Amino acid sequence: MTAKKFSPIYFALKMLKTIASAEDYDFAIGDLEETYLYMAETEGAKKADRWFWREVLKSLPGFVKNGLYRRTAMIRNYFKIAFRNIIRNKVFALINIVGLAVGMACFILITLWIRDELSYDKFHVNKDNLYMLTIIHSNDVVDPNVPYALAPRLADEFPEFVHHTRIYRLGNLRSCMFKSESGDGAPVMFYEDSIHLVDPSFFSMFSFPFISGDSESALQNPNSLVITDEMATKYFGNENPMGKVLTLNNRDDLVVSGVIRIPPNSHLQLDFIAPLPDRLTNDWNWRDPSYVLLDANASVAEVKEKIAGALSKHSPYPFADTLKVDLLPFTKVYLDFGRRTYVTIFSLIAGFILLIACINYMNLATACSANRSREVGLRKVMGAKRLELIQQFLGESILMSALSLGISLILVRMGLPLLNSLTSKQLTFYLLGSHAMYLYLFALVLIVGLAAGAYPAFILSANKPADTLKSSLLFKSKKSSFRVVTVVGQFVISILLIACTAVVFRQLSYVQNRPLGLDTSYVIKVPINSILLGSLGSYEDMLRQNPNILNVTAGQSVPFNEDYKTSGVEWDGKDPQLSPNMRYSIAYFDYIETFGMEVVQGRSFHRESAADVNNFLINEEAAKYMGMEDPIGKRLEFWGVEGSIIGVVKNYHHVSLHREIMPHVFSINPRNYRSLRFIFIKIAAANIPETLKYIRETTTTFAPSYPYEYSFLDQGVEDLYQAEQKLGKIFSAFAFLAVFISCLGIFGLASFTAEKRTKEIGIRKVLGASVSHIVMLLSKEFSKWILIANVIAWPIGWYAMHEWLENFAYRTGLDPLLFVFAGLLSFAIAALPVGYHAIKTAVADPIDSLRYE
Amino acid sequence: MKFLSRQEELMLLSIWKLDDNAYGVTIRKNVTDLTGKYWSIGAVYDVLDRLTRKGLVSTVTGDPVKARGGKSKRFYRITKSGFKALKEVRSLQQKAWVDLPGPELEKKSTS
Repeated sequence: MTAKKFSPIYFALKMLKTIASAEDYDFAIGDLEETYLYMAETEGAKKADRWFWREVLKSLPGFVKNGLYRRTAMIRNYFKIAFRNIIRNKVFALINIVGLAVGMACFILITLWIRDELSYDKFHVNKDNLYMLTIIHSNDVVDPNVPYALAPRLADEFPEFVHHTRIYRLGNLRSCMFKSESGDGAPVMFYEDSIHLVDPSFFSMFSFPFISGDSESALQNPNSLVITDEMATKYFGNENPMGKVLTLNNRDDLVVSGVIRIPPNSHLQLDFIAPLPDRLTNDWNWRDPSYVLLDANASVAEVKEKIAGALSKHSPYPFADTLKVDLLPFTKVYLDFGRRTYVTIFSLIAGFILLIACINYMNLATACSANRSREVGLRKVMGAKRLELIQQFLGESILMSALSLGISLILVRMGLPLLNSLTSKQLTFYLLGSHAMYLYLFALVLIVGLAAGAYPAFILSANKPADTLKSSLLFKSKKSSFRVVTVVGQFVISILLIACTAVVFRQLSYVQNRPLGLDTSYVIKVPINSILLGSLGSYEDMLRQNPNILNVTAGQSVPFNEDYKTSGVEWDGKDPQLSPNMRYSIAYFDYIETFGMEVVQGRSFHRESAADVNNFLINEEAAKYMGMEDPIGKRLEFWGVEGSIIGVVKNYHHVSLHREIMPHVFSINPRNYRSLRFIFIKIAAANIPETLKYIRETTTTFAPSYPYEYSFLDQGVEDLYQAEQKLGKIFSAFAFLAVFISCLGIFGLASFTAEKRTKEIGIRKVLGASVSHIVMLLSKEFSKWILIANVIAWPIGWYAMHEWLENFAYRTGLDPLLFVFAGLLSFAIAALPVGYHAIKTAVADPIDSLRYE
Repeated sequence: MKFLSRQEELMLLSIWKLDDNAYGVTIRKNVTDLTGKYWSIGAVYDVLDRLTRKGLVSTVTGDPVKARGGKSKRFYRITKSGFKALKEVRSLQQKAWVDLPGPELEKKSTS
């Protein structure tokens, strides 16, 4: 007779049986059950039940306490053994801990970076309902710039659009200067290019924190201006900027109505924000980014469907049929336009590094398993179950990973400033006060510990006690195919990383050294202003009076990064269905000459020829695009101005080398001169300071009410590829660390094999083997592994790099020599530790080695 | 040497008395009857464990019994040192009571 099944008492009994460790209190629970049944018979079930619960409550704490005591006794033993092992194998333990610590530090640093990348634009309250309007071209290219009329039209038509704003990038179109005369001294003035005009609902959509002013009233007046705290300091120092006047281009007085702070993890970095005039509501031509706020209850898929054909419906242009309007979630904008690749690459590297460190642990632990087989055997004889042994070894690896975490936290602290300076970010790492961080680190320790320890625990616990205890001298050196796989795997990763680093650097130097097709040396750039623009001719003449000034021209942007596209081009014989997609330069006389561009057909613009202001130059690509064999003299219409093509310019790189050279039109029509933003002055290499002084004096004489700034164009070229350079550096740093960690592992394995074969080598030497022979013998195995690794790594590396290079329109070829180089380097890296141990063992006195044990 | 506590003494005497049938349930019943107080199972084993650790009793595990949910009984038996310890407290008690009137006398004098 037992307790009724599935009564609470039945379960309580079950529970007690599991809590009270089985053998210990078995009889006590037996007593409980026996007495309970007896009482139930003699004194009634109710009383027995009451008694039973009272007993359970009273005895439970005792059971738990005793159970814990017994369990910790074993755990204490595990700890003791683990620490003894660390102390006994100092080198191996050090390799493991250093490897894991460096690996974890890299992992944490990269996660911090990735977390920051992923945090972009997430601080907006409306982030889930904010979208960017995009246009998908027929070739699947996503264009972030949409016509001005689109957003207001959609908002009128569909109630799902709660708010919308366009961002008119004024600073990119005109030369802009702000002046503040509020201080006591001379006016503070600077040229600015981050000036944006937005719709009034801008601050209802985005939640940029206001330091002064408020989101409701900030953009109410047409002459209001919201600035960032940085700009407030730049123009007003410590004074309160609210209500102060900033004059735009000496003409428009704008009143500061708000100061905001734009967090670094916002892809919108707007220094000046002013209200957008209404006049652009019908402009289907000009394009800039537009953002919309959808109703929280609206179905995004439905809205997308509804707006897809909006352009073909409203746009007056016939080609609009091929364009699809789409919505891109606001939080994805930053990643989707350029950053996603980097996030993926760095996540991969982080994973690889951690994997390599874990493999080190696995290999060393299994390699040393022979040394611990006797411990395992004895434990088994004493009644340890396999599961308990697995627990023990897993516990050891987790302990190891916890120790490593401690060191890695110090490394992270040291490495963070370095990473910050390389990424120009302000990443922080605070342990305290962040539960998520604790959880993350705890999970990291656990995952690393389990990943590294699972296989060794499995192998070590599998030892048969009879075998291991039978003979202490005879332990078979089991050929572990797993170890071969992991070591080869490590080398594959290392070779891959070395090869990739080499290719990345080759591409970067290729980009920097590739002839752009134009000469930017000794060209300085001076921002233009309305006065200079008004007297461009006389200003230019004045400059040219200096013999050291070789040429003067003007343009809308630097010639190597001139990303202005238009569809407003017509020519004879153009397919009426074609929507032209061409780049253009609004330029001035001598544009071609100043930058040393080559005219391959026809001629450049001539001052003497009055008609040239209506004529055009095109580049080779444009001639091809328009299908003109001999374009000279052909009619061309650009933004409604008719003229003829007078020359063809040799292709040059007008945007970064990521992108292809596009058809390009050059116009010097004065109608568009207000788009000119810079004067470009080519100077002689001699007497530069004097020439610069002359330019400054001339410019300030002409336009005393404007600031004077200048910069060399070469610097601009460098800046264009700076981001890539920095990423290249970070990439190589992490690649180096990964190689370092796998090197540590090889060092450990090499020393282990050498140690294990000490006796064999002693005997070989006694029998007359030479040192070189023994070194060969010891390094043969590793060489084989590396060879296999190379064979695996090369095709993978080739494929991956091929894909990456596809990002660049202009790229270096994949030189097979680079892979050979990576292979040789990996060989050299492995040869160092392996050779060190091989030589050390080989030259050792055989007497010592034979006496070993 | 430390002397036995009263509980330990009580427990030992019960085991002695129960002879071959001394295990958790019977011991507990005996002590409960003797003292008229509530003894929980845990309390009984607390003392029994202590006695076992001191080597005053030895244990034998019996066969599993169905009425006990398939659990076996653990039987207790007094060891030599157990008897010695019992004798010691007994003689101590007797010595301490010499020349004193019995407890009945004291009762009379206070009432």
